[in-house]
Parts: sequence; structure tokens; C-alpha cells
Amino acid sequence: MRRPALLLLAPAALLAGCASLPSSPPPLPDSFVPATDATAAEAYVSSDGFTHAEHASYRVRVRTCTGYATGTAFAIDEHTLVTNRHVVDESVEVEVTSYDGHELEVVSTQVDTEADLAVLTVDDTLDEWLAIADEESAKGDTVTVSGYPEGESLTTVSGPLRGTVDEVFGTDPDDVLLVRVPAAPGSSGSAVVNDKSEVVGVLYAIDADEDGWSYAVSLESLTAMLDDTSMLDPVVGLCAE
Amino acid sequence: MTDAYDAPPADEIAAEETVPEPGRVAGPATEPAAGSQSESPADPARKRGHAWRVLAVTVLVVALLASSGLAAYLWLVSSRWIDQNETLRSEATDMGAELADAREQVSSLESEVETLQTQLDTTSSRLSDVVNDEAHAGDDLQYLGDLIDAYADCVDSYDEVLTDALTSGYTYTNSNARSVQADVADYCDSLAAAYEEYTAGGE
Repeated sequence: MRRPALLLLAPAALLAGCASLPSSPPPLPDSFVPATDATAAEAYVSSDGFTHAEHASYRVRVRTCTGYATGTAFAIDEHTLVTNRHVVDESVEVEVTSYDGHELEVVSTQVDTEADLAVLTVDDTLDEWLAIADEESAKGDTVTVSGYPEGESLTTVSGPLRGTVDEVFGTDPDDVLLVRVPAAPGSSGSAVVNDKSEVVGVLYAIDADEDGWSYAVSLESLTAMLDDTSMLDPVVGLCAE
Repeated sequence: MTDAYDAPPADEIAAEETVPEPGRVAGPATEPAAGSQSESPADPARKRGHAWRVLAVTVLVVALLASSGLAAYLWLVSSRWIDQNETLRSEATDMGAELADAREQVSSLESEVETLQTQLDTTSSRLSDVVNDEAHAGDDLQYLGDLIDAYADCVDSYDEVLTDALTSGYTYTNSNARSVQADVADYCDSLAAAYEEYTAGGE
């Protein structure tokens, strides 16, 4: 009986083994190179090596009744620049020059009655301007400032946002931003931008005690001014004889 | 009934003789030979053995055929894997060559981009310097223009003082006129000082 059983078991084992037989290889794909996303996010391509924020930054030269001053402004649309109130509030004459030396004609100067902000309207049509951010930057975010410290060459510096503090001079009601970015007189009015080149503040003061610390008017104050232009006063620009 | 085909091999007979069938008593070698006319007790056993042998041969044949089929299948599968392996090796070799070329190009382009970036930075910096120089020239021009206007005011003031002194000399000694003259002198001196400061700053 053992032999017949073996004879029956052998084919059974053979059939069972067929279940684990290797199969033919699957067909190869048409290509082993994965498809790439041709619609990747478009990076800003500069035509001359300057950044978008630098293109939108302008040197401001102000003549007052008693002397001269320089500052920085940035474009927010094709005819409007924003700077600090303290840069232009005593101005008799305001001259604005682009990063490449093109001089703009300023047709009106208005200052905010609340925050240290001012609006310049230019006759020229600007090619580039900065978008205003939808939300404040968070503490620790890197921000960038492009301006003309001491009225000298256009300079771009970056540093972290350190948070919000009370307005340093105690003259404006809104809180201001504290940023670890070196600045100097002449940097006033520079846009503080996030990593998308959106404006999150306007640099307006430096910390006299801590080198490399600066203060900026907050995004909230900026948007409040832009939303309600009735708070703007024109600068007359006349000197007493 | 026996024939040559049914005759078991001698070794099987020997094996059967040494292994007694169940229910039988192994008898002596004097058992009648197979094929005798009278049916002996060994005949059913012999028939069963014959059937088993047929079955065994059938199974072996089936097994042989199955093995042959299996071998053919395995050969086919193996050759397909080998073909695909060769295709993949060829593809991998081509892609490796393309990757090497691409890496070389990337390396070359990176170097080129680095050089161009340096040149662009230098050019941008130079442009900023030139624009800055131009802006300062504009500042200076405005300053000097304002200074010239102030000097003109100074000259006009001196002219007034001088005219007053000439036209009403006898009354020019009063303190008010002297005060005006002093103010004009101070103003003009301040302009001179401003110009000296400007020229000193430019040196």
C-alpha cells in the first residue's frame, strides 16, 4: 500500500508545486523617467540682478526749510509710493530716484495722522511694485529690508522678526515690529518684506542702544492707512520768510 | 494467462516473495507456477500487482509529461526573464550614460551660473555705485544751487545796505541800520562757512 500511495502523492505534489511556479516578467513601462511638473511655481526672474523688492525701492531726497534729508520709499502700485511721515512731513521739495537712477516726479505728498507713514504720488507709471501681505509675519520669520542707508547705495539686508513692541517714541497708538536688521538714517521708509516679497511693515527707527535692531510700522497700521485715506493730510511745503 | 509483457521483473518477484501479502501465509517455494490451468490463490494477488504496475507506469508517464511541460514552462519563463534583464541592463546602461552626461552638464552649468552670478553681482554693485554717485551729484547740485541762491540773497542784501548807506548816509549811523548790516554780514559769513564745510567734506 505504501508504493501506490507514493505514486498518487507524487503527481499531487507536482500539481501543488505548480502553484508556486515563477511567472513571466511583467511588461516594462514605456519610460523609466518619471513625468516632471512643467507648471512648477514661477520664480521671480530679474532682468538685471536686482531683486523685486530692490526694483520697487526708491531713494527719497528731501529739502526742508532748514536743510536736507534722505529716506527710502517703496511702490505699492503704478503711481503710489509709501514712506515714513518723518521723512517728508517738513519737506519743501521731494525728489525720488529709482534703483537705476531714474528720477520720478512727485505730484503730491500726504502724511498719516496716526502712524509714521506717508504716501507719495508720482506722475510716472511704475513697472514694479510690492504687494501688501494678507497676514502679519510670525515671530522668528526672516524678513528683508531694501533701502538707502545714509542716502548711499541701495542695500539689502535680512534678519529675523523678533516680535511686536510698544511704539518706541510713544507718539503713535499702534504697536510696532522689532526686527534684527541693521539700518541707518536714510533707511527710514524701507519696506520690510517677507519671503514672498510682500510688505509686512515699514522700517522707521533704529535702536540707538542695540546695534542691528530696528523698528517698523506694523502691517496693521499700513493697511489701516491705505484703507482709509481720509486720515491723510497733505504736506504744504512752504517756508516762513 | 501470462505473457512476456506481464511478467514481473525478477527483482520484483523476489521482493514480493520476501513481503507476504496480508491475510496470506507465506508458503514454500513449491507453489504451482503461474499460468497453470487451475486458478491458484496467488492469482488475485498477481492481478492486483498487474493493475498497480499499469497504474504506476501511467503515473510515471504522466509525471514525465508533466515534468517535461514544467521544464518547458520554466525554460520559457527563464528566457523571458533573461530577455527582460538584458533589456533592463541596456536601459540602465543608457540611462547611466545620460545621467553622467546630465551631471557633467549640471556641473558645467553650475560653474557657469556661479561665474555669471559673480559678474552680475559686480555689475549690480557697480550700477548701484554709479546711481549713488549720480544721486550725490544731484544732492550736491541742489545744495550748490541753493547756496548760489542764498549768495544772491546775500548780494541783494548788501546791495540794499549799500544803497541805503549811499542814499541816506547821514542817517545810516543809527543802531537799527547797523544791526541790519550786521545781520547781513552774519548771513553771508554763514554761507561762506557752509561752502567751506562743503568743500572740506568733498576732499
